[in-house]
Amino acid sequence: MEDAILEVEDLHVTYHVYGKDPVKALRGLDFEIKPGDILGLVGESGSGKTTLARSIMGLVPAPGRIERGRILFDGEDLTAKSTEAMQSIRGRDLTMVVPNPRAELNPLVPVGRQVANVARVHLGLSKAQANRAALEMLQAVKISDPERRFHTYPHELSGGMAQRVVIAMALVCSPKFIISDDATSGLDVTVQAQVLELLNRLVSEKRTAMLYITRDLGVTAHFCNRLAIVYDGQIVETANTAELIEYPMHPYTLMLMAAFSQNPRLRSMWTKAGSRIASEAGRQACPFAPRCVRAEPRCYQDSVALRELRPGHLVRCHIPVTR
Amino acid sequence: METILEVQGLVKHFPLPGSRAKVQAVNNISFCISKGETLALVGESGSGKTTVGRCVLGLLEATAGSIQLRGRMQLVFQEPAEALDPRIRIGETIEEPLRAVNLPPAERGERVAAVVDRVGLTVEILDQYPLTLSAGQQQRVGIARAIITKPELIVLDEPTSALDPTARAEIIDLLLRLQQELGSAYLFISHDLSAVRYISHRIAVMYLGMIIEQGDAAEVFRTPRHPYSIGLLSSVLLPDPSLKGLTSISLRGEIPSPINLPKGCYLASRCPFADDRCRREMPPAEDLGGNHVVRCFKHQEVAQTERAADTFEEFQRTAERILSA
Repeated sequence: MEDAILEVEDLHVTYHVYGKDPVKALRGLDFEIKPGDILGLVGESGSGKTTLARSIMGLVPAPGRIERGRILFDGEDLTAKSTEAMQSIRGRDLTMVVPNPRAELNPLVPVGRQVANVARVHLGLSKAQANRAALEMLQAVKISDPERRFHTYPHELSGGMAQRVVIAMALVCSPKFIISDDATSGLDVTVQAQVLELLNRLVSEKRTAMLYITRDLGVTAHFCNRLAIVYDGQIVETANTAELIEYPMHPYTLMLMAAFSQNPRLRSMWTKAGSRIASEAGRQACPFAPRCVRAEPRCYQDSVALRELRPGHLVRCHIPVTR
Repeated sequence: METILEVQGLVKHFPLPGSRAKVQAVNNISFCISKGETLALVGESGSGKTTVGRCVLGLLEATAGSIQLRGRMQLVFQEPAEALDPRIRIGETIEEPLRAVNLPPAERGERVAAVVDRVGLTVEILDQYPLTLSAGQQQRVGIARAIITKPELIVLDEPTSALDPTARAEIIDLLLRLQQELGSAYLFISHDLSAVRYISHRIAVMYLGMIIEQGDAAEVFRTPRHPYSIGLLSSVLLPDPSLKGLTSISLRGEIPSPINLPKGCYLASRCPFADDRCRREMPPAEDLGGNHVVRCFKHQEVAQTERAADTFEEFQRTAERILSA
């Protein structure tokens, strides 16, 4: 077995807002990613997805704090690293692609130079070498006419082109690990299809590992080889993609899948009115219980751990769905 | 069927300041909507679908063409949080259209309570402010405000795009139920094809300000005949890995600039079927029968190469198998 490139162990992140109850965004997250893996992390808004991405990058904004747990990257704990040490890892071995690519780029610097700067800072290349590397990268992300586009400014590019530039920046140092935080959701579907294909090819060529964060179960089913479903800061179900889609066991996973169904009967089987409980006081032993069609009294009383119910398929539920 | 909205030859161009060029956002569009019917305008960003909606609503003045509306009209916005005034209580927000139609205050309260119940909210929220509601609830408020005057037509501009999948499904169900109860017609503007497949009777696919394919929704989804429609539909990813590649057209590159529209068919630069004629001439709108209209010289060739498959319908089988456990 190959060693994991990233291991997240029992990660707890809490936001301490002055004068309010602390908000526990992540409440004990465990997972690992091996080289060449694409793990899809699926959850609704507020489930802690973005907090996870920021924790790995060492960029949890104040008043957020990592309370507990470790993030092992290539065997070293990122949570114990200094700001300077993180700066040298971030952008080189560990990179992130975010939504809204135009906000990510410096509007005053030509895009080619922005890609080259990443290579100069992290790989110590000369200006000429870095420019060559950047140009190659712009070609690799299939930007048409890369020599000319090298000198354009971000506002001259369409959203899809700008997203490619951001991907080129993320990949120019051949990172070991990429996080995509909702990076394709703002794109049009035909462009999204192109960008996903591109990411897939680049990741498999270089055996890069990737964490693909999204709320769209549909995209992950086609793009990721493993899935983790997150609810309220915890993984509630994880397995390889084919297994999880064919044999979903957590009622929340079935609810997500039912949202794609056009049959009201199937949807009402798995969907109960109500919304996520955001307050700490309102959280039940199983946080999903108030929205769960199968909830029993014990779901409100006893918390439940992730258990392996089929080979490689872990579920956090008292009454998992089987068929 | 009684026609509620009729749009004929709509053109909308935006002048660019300091230049003789213009953004040709909408280029000669015609469609109509009957009573109680949903027409979906689908397309990607830059296709002009939102501009069409704004012209219909009278928020923009059309450059050319006619828009005829028989009845009243309301609208529902994309971002529910931004569409509601954060400083006005929900009750007042919902009531406001009634003031505009001069309903006496005595009757307003009753109407508000009825409409709140109808969209699946409780009267407790009437005293609250928008920020305390979830996005799904906010969108319900937006819908309540739209239906309270019982309009004949509701323009829905991306009403589900900002929502989580489960909230999205609930809003679609609500819109379907309300249409049955109230008989309003919908102009449903969206790039969310799952929602479109579910809610619309007819669909018009837009590309660079033109309708390139129009017809019965089920038929267009099952047998799309324009290469762009096929590319668009095959880019949709549903949670079943085996549904990949049911159709095979992949479009190259991106949408050209609406400032310099290409000569000939607007898709030619991205289309695997395009030949010299496509690059030279604009294809006419051709009726394939049953009001399925396509603007493509190559639609017969497309029909032969592309096997019919409605990914959404295929997925329903998967959903049935997995979810009816």
